[in-house]
Amino acid sequence: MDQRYFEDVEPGDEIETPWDATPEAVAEFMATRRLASGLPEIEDGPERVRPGFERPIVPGSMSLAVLSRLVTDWMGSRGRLRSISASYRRPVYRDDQLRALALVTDTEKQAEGGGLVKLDVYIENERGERPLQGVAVVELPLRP
Amino acid sequence: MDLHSHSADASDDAGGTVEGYLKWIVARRKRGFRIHGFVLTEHREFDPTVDYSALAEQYGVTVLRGAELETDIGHVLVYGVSPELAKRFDFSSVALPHRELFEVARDTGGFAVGAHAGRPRIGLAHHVHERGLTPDGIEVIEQLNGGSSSEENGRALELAEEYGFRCVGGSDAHFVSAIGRCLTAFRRPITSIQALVEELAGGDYFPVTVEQTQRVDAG
Repeated sequence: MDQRYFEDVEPGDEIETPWDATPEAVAEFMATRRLASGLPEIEDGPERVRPGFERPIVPGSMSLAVLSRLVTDWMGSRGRLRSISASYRRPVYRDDQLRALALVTDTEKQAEGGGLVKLDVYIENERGERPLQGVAVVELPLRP
Repeated sequence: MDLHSHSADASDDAGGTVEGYLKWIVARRKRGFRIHGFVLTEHREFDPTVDYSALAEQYGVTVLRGAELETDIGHVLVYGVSPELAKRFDFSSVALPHRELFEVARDTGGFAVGAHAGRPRIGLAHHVHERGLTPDGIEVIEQLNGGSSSEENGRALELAEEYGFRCVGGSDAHFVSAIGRCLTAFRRPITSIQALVEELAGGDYFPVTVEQTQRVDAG
């Protein structure tokens, strides 16, 4: 993983990755979540269409995890994800053509070294909808 | 002008700050996009004491204020919120009577617009086509909405053509990078809420995407 430095980042920089939310990936995520949380098994598998939805949806926590991973992969091992939050505005349908995106909206050098970077993070589908939108704040090191 | 936006100051589903929007617009202008300013239309409220004029002046961007209210025909953007209008309606209600709202807004020096008109449940097209409602008293709809899909904006355009509505555009931004994605092009600069109300009532305007505003000579 490449290290990202504060000096190399400016507002308008965009990060993007396609996201294929296959039934297998959703099932794997749900199994991992069960193990990590200790919560009982949820009966509806990735194929189930919940009432009120057109098609099977992706768990909200998985969408946020994908956005978090997008940002942490981008920032590098010496970066620090200070916060990430998102607003769930529409369902994320499993078989949509999804992309996870982040856009640098602000940068601020810190007196004590390093710099803060604000990013808008969102999931976009092929219809141009953004079912999940949020904000991440990342701390990046200065170039040595 | 972007006629529809929300900030973290007053809309609980928004993550963008007003200063964040201002910085973003300045950055977009440097890339050749023409964004004059925006109207904050927070959900179900209007606080007359809030003033962003110093911040707006600092960044050279016009910031005006309206409200997004919820009615029996979906969401409605109101510009020129007077004390009288605020007294007549409980802005926190999610089912305001739309006919009265559109009428009183006009009578008290304001102007109301049907928000994200193509959106299911919260847009005018749904209520006209699914519930058989007649859109009396409505002249203008937000046809181009940055939070709607192209299909939903297409539905709003069909509604506008069917009823002869004039159309505006707004980003419906809740986060910084969305501000100015959709806008309304006016023939003259809008620098006050009164000027905006006058233009909406009788002026010449049309919705545009931010890409359509880009100067061809910009680097």
